Formats: sequence, structure tokens, C-alpha cells
Amino acid sequence: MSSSDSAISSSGSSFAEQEEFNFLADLIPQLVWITDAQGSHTYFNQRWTDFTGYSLRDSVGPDMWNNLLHPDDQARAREVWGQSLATGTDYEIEYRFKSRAGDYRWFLGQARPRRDAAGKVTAWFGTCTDIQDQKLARQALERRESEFSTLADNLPQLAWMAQPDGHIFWYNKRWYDYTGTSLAEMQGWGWSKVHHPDHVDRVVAFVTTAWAAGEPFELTFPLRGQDGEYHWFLTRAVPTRDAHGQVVRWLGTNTDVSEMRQLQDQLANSYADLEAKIIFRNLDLEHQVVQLRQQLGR
Amino acid sequence: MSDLLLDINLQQLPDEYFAGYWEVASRVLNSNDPASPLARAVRLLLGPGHLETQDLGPEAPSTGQWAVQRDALLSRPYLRFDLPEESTRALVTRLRRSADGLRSQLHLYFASGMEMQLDRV
Repeated sequence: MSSSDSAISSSGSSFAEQEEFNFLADLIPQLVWITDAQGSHTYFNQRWTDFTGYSLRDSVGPDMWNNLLHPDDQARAREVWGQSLATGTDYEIEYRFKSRAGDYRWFLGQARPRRDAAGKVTAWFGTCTDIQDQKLARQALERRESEFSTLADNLPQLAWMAQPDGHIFWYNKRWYDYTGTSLAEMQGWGWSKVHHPDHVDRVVAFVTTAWAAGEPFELTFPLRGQDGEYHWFLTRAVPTRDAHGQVVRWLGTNTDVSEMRQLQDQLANSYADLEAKIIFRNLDLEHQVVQLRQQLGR
Repeated sequence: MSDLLLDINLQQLPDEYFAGYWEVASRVLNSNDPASPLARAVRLLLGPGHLETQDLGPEAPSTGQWAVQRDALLSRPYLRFDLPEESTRALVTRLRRSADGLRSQLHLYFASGMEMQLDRV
């Protein structure tokens, strides 16, 4: 069937104009359709027919198009279209249409009403643009983002990303869970709010130099948890670069090393205790050694 | 009352922190004579210049003197104990106190190798 079956029956238009309209409507890559004011289709272009396998003659009834939609999209599409018909507002929706081969493809459906001099809707002109590739690419991107978020949020470390100048624009969930803060509070240089007042100047001075240097760096400092307690964290940051070697962002992690520091402190204390005990048990001898050294002038 | 005990800097430790009744919470004798009063003590009273040890036996408490001493070779004080049965000294390895000072924990290392943890009664 050709689109001539479905030519517009506009009383004032010439045959040549109709031919031109049909030529143009069949040329563009979209499915094109027209309905009356009530939403009953009065025209489909050839691409519609080629894609769906249905001509205008097969498409009698206000709901026929809806039956071609994916079952999961039918109710939503009916609601959105009904809303436009009722209010005269532009129509826009993403949905899946069934092809004549039986598979579904994503389309962006858009329509705008045509009005008479009194402003009354007389017809709707619509298109369906194939967005299957973009939709799949977007879904793949969303999946990747979701996978990244899952990974980043479940790292044992606090993690963050910063612009080349050190403006932090992202933290993982563990950061927020630990600090009890929000991105609004923390973005940019807001992180200084959770630093210990005795250390914040040292940290700011260090990272200001480090951002400019553009080389990986490590730094250890205490961060305040939402319980008010400070834990020591080892920060590691690495710059990522573009093809020209320019830093495009910083990736950083903060690893809680409080226990390790406590163990280090305990070990140092144990050594100090041991040394003191040895001197204590040999105190008289130690004094004799000191006296001897003094006598020898050492 | 806070359960938190804070480590006291042993280089800036006032002598009066040692005074009072102490309970022996744990002890490791090492080469110390197990029959000595300090090895058997379950309680120590460190009064002003006065030392008293109590054990679980029926005997009367052993009494003597004690003093805080410091030595330039040591970065912490030690205690000298003089009883009729023994004279010894013990290095202070740790003193921990609650913020209100009501609870204390004292770790001592004796010249004999005996180690003792005392809790403030």
C-alpha cells in the first residue's frame, strides 16, 4: 500500500500540494501521523506502514496505535496522549512500538495541535523518531553508572573525585555515612569542615601544592565522624589525564588507619616501656656508667 | 561517671596522684619472692609517708614507708617501698585516670621483675 491511500483530504489543497506533502512526509526519517481533534488517525506516512505493517485503513479506532505499543508502555502512553487531547498541550513520550517483524523499537513520540482562528484544536500533527540506538546506549550508560556506584559505594574506603584544581564534586556513600554530611556541604573545599582544627591548615597547605603539582600524593590526617570522634585516614590521590597529558580529574581514597596507628603507638610505647624497665633494673649500674664516662671526659 | 580512663603523662605526674587505697587487680611475679608482703598483698594504702599492705591471711597488715622518686636517667617516676620484711622499688609504667579523678589504674614494674596493676578503690 502506498501513502497515496492516506492522503490528506484538505478541501483547499491542490493535488500537487498533496503530492509534495506526501513526498516530504515519506522522505523524512520519522514516522509521521495526523489525527483529528479527538485523536483518531487520519494519516500515516509510508514509513509508519513499512515499520508497523499497518495502513491507515487497518488503523480504524482511537486505540489501534496503542495496541502496537509494548504492553508495559500502553497505559502510560494512553494517559499522556489523553492528557494532551484534553488540554491541548504538546505531546511527548518515549515508548516502544512493535515492528511488522514482531520486535520492539524505542521511539520518541511528539505531537503538536493545529488550531483554527478561534483557537480550537482541529488536528494533531505528530512524529515518532526512532531512538532505539540512543536508548540502548543510554541504558548501557545507566547500567555502567549503576555498576560504578555499586562498586564505589561498597569500597571499604571513603572515595572522592575532584576537578583539576582540587574542587571536589563527588563522594561515595561511605564518605557521607562516615561524616554525616551532604554533597552541598562538602563540594569544593567543604571537606575542611570535617578536619581536625589542629591539622586542617597543614592539610590545606599540602593539597594546595599537590593539586598544582599534578602528581600522585599521600597524606595522613584525622577526619571527624558523625559521632564527633576523629579517626585517622591515609589519603591517596591520583590524577587522571587526557590524551594531551592534561589533568582532567583527581581520584582519591581515604583509608581508616586508626587501628594501625594505635598499634604503632602501642608498639612504640612497648619499646619505650622495655627500655625504661631495662634502665630501671640496672639503674645503679647505669649511674656507674655515667660516672665513668664523666671521669673519662666523654 | 565516664568509664574512659586517660593516660597521664608520666613526665608531668603530680605525686599526690599515687596517694590513697589501691586494690591489686593483677600481678605477675616473675622472679619475685612469692612470700613477700608485696607479692601477697591484695590491697595497698599509700598514705602520707605511710605504707600499709593487706593480704588475705589473718596476720596484721605490714606497715612501712613509701616515697615517689625520680631519676635523670628515667623518663618516669618510680616508687620506693620500705617494709620490715623487704625494701624494693617499682617503676611506674602507666597511670590512667578518669576525667573526674575518681578512678585510677596504676601499673608498676618492680626491680625483681614483678608486674602489678593497681586499681583505685
